Amino acid sequence: MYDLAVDIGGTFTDCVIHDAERELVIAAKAPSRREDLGGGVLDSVRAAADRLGVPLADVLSSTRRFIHGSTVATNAMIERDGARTAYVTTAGHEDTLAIGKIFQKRAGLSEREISHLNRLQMADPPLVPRERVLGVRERLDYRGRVVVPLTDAEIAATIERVRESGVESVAVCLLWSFIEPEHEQRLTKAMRQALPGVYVSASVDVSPVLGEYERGVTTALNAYLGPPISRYLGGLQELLSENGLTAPVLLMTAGGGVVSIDRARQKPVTMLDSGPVGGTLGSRFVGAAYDEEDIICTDVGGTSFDVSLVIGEELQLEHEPVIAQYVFKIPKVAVKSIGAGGGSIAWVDRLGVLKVGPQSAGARPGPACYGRGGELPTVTDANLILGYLNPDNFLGGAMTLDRGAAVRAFEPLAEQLGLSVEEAAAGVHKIMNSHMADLLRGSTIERGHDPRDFELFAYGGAAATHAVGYSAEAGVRSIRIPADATAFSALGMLTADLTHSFERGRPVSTPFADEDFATMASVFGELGEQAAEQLRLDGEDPEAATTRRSLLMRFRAQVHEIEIDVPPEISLDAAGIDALIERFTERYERTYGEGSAYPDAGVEITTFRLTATIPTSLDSLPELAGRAGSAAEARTGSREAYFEAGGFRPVDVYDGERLAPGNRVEGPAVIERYGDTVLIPPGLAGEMDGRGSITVEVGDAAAGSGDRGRVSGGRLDPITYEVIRNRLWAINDEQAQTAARKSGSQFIYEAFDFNAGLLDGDGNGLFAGVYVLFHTTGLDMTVKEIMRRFPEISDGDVFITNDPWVGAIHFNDFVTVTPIFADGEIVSWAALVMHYQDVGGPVPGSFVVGSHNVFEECPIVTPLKLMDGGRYCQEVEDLLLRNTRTPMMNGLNLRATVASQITTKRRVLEIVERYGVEALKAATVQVQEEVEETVRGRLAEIPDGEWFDHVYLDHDGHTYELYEVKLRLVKRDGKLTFDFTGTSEQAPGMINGTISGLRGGVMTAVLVMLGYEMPWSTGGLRDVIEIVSEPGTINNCEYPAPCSGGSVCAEEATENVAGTVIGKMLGASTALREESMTVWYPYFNIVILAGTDQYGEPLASLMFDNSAGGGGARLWGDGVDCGGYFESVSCVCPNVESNEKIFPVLELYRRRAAGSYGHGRRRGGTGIEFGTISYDVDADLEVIVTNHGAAQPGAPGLYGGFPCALNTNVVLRDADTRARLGAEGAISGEVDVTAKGREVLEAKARTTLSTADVLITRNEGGPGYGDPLRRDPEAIVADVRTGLCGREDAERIYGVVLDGEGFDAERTAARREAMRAERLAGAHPVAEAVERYGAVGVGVAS
Amino acid sequence: MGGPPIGDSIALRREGDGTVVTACAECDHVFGPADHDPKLGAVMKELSIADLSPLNEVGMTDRLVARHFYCPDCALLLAVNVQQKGDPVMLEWRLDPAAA
Repeated sequence: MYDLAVDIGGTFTDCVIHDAERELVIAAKAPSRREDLGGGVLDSVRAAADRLGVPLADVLSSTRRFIHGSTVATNAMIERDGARTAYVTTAGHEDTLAIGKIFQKRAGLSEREISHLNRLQMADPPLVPRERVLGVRERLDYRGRVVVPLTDAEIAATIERVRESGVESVAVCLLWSFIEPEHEQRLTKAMRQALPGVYVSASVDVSPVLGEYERGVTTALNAYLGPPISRYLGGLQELLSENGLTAPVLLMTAGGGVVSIDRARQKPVTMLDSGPVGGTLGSRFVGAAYDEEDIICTDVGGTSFDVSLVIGEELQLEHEPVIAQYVFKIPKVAVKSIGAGGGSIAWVDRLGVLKVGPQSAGARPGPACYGRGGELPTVTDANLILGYLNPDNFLGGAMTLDRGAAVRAFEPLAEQLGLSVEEAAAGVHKIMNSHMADLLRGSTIERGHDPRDFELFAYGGAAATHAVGYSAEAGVRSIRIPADATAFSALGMLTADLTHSFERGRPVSTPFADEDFATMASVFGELGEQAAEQLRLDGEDPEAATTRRSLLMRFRAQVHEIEIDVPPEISLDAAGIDALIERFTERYERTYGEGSAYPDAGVEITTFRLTATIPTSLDSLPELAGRAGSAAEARTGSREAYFEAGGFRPVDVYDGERLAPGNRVEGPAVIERYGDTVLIPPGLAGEMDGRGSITVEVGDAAAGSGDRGRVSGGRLDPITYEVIRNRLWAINDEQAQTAARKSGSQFIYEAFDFNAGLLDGDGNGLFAGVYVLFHTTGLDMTVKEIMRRFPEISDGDVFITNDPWVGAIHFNDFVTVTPIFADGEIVSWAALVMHYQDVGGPVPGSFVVGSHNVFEECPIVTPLKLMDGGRYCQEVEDLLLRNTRTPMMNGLNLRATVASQITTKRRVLEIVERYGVEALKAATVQVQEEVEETVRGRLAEIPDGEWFDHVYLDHDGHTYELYEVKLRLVKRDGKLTFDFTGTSEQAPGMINGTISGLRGGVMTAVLVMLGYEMPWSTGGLRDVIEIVSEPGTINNCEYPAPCSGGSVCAEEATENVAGTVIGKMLGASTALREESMTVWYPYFNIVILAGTDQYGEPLASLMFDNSAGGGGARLWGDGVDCGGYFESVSCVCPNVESNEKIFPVLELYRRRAAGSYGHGRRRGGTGIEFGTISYDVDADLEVIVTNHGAAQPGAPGLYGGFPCALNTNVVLRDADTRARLGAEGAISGEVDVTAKGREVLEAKARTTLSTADVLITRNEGGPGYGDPLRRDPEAIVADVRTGLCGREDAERIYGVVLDGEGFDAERTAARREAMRAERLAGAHPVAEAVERYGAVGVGVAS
Repeated sequence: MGGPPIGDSIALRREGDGTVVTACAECDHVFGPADHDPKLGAVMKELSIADLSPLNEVGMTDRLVARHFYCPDCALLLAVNVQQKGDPVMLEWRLDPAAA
């Protein structure tokens, strides 16, 4: 009998056959057939059968299990050739997928990509176009109670609309269906009956958990993939049956199990990204044979490097993976990947720095040495040049490599670097190892795992050649390269079990009542029944299954959950749940650090999960049989190979197929095997064991010893520089993520209102994280002021301040900086800035509307030591917490900050230990030089000149006054001068900004618009940027001017005007004009709800829906709809379900707001509009507003584009909302209700929201770019069709005459011609206006 | 001189006498020397900020105006400036003579 696994890869399809009787494992490969994947599968099986010496039909007919890993689902997503799909959801919420929680624009992208705001877009094309999103009139509340019933007539009407849409698949996701599925189930049942040819996917079946965006995405993905997967699997089963297979085909899932074909058809989303999982399973299985419980699994193929972990023999799952910028909720084995493999292309950037990848030569044309037409230097070419690969014995001799072609490909690269070909190739090999080591660290150290505690498994065609390099670099000490490493993923699939996982979101919180315990038992009971039913459908006996129950738990108000097992011996009663909470708390502290748990907040169970497993895995891995002899007998000769220490030297070459258990091979050596080549550097040794694995003990060669960086004339060699630079960048990201995970504040973990930075020893900024940028632009001020004020700074000190004149933007932003000492001197500073929810003062939240000076605002904490020589200064914490309304949240933030600072310090010192102090110092200088040169290079592409603009601030906290920020930008001699002369004097209210905000606004605009795809180093810009400003003005106020609103007032104004003039300037550059854009969501529309929530608890928090303003229009395209704000690429707009669970509200509708943007040839992105009523409370709520752009457009358009529309908050008083909701089934806007009063809230306002009122909030979109009359009429038609442009605006602003579903070209041309004539009628020469009003701006004395 | 326009509306053009001028990207109307804001060769009209968007009707329509600047030949919209009524005309950019 045989067990058989087939894994389809991009280049090859691998097959592994386990012959149970002969205790033999055979692997074989066949080229993948892109247009006929099933044919490729059969080819690979035939190849394996040939190697086994058994006819194909005999193998198939004697196969008891056929396991298949397919990339069909992943490819369907990448190539976007899934089914034509409709999406059905609760009326009023049709834009959920399009809004994408804002975060969609950056989900799954690298930090480098994220830093280029101008290029960010929502998923394109969208999974489901807006036209095929259908609203259903029905509504449940956060407890599953019916607010609007779903009628039979509505079901019938919905089915008709689906039919008319002509789709082959439909996804259904109704709000709160995971709590009460009745509406959704009734609707989908009716659809399946009425539309038999349509694939119907219900969210309650696919992912019944909190969060309509992720649940909806998961369901939409399932629907999108359903038809093509069904077709593929049907065809495959038929093909294999025709060739003799009688056993069922089982499909590999990304969760690490296998499922039947029928189940895969029902839930194809589980197959997404399942490709690398086989290797992880294989590592766990093989590791168990060696008693290795903790394994780092590394897979190096032709184009990618994948890393996953096995801890305590458990696979590590991620619960919110990303594909094509869509976050979905299917637990899958956590695999981190980068574009680094044998095909990765080496190149030199404009600064002369050597880079490797992420572009790949792929399989066609492949590396130059493949001789298939490739001419670019790749990693495989480097390995061949360095003598690591045998040109005559590649893939077991099946392929010959051309060393001459590899050398020719490398020559231009070497010349650019001023190195020999061999040195350049060695550099490529080393940088490749460095990239992979960074990913290893990202998968281990940054998650709190010490790589020294793990065994590393290396597999995939290129792993064996790089494993020692990347492992040593990352600090791993022991490496195992298994037999058949080249087809290891297929081998791993044989070790999968038949697994079904069912889950249900059903939030319950402490203190638990008896009914909660009953709910828990009931939910697990339902999940158990679902699992049993599925197993019966698979033809399995449910009694034979092992069942695992688990809970996703978190501290109340947090977002990050931890999965806790519920062992059979624990009963779901008070004592049992207490025990689980204890386990949760312990696990939390183990994950996030001692003291990080926050039990006072209470604990919440969000999701119940049950996994049923039928064991189908192989029992054990066969041992090698019949091999004996010494290593010398396997030696086939020697050749020259290159090593960094000593250059080329002779290495022994061994035939891996002839090595016997116990053979030890001393380095330098290479061991050639069927599909890979194991490289053993000098000083190390490899040893073959009884299962054919080769183990290399790296030991002291791992990170932490020797290999100091080469510093010459204060500069590092380019390779070590790249390594240290990337390491510092990664350390800063780790610093931010550590703090975010440990914070208990929504401001941090949900709104990401924080940031981390690294500085050099003198306090010059090196790196800033991808969170709120202006938090880090004043760090140099803070550090330099601390160095001035504290003559004695010691190792172990940590400083803290919220002084807006010393680097903080306003009082809520606490800045913490930590000196890092090495060899007795400060070599670097770590820094973290967090927005604290409340820091005292007369107004909750500390935005002090009505203040006249700082004495009426909040306590100022001038720089103090939070830690003194390693001692945590409790007295300072006491002082800080004594002055706030939220001491627990603030205390937790303080501890999270200190923990992240200490971690950062340790990481930086690891670099010192590895490369030396001088290397670190040289790298910090070179980072700033690199940034300066990059920006100067970009400036060189822009003609010299002057640009001018202005913005207003409306309302100073007392009255509706206008304040003006004027800016003249001068670009000359490779420098930018930002001259704010003429700006309004400081205001008598809280809207002022200090010098910190002024610099923050300028630097944010510069970094976002000119500093993309490079480290955000303000230190590198200190000689490039000059700011001219008069103290005492609104964005450079003098103490003690009030400035508690500084971050969202004067700072944003500065940022808006600076961004506008830079966008204007970039438009003048031939080379960089595509970088020209308007600013994003100019002024944050802060709306705070206060009072008592539906649970009887005090309420005072921001509605984070207001993060969703519109992106700025780009010269090359429209702004991102609901793209978020300018100063943070990482802001988030939460789910409606999250809001309704936390706040006593019902969000009637939420959508992209038509016309909220600035019109233009390229329009700005839309803002958001949402309607809210209070819900489940009787008392009034308080509504507190702080914004600008409510009485005047927040920021201008460019080159004829219109400014954005206004931020607006309207309260409709005594409205008939609830009655109309009941009668009509949905409220989609102000027009749908009748009110007795209408109150437009001012830019600074405090008012009430009664149970009869409705709050309508609309955020600014982005400003426009170019003349609206030049906009493509087809784009207008699309905007009208999707509700983003009103029909009236289409004609009035754009001159487009609509005609049915399209436009009338002739009448549009005539209309536009008439509009141009109207423009000129009554227009006057500008010179006349200048004569009348005077002029301001460029060429005018200020 | 060729090359892409500045922003979305202005082209640079070298005249027969060697001077560089700004011209309309749509109709080639010459606004003036390249080291002057092209606006100075344009025409303008003051409209309400509500004309930019009906959503602006709740704004300071009494205090603010939206100044629209057009090419006098083809009416291409060059710029829109929101300013307080009676404020000086805003001159937005000029290139240095050598750069132009």
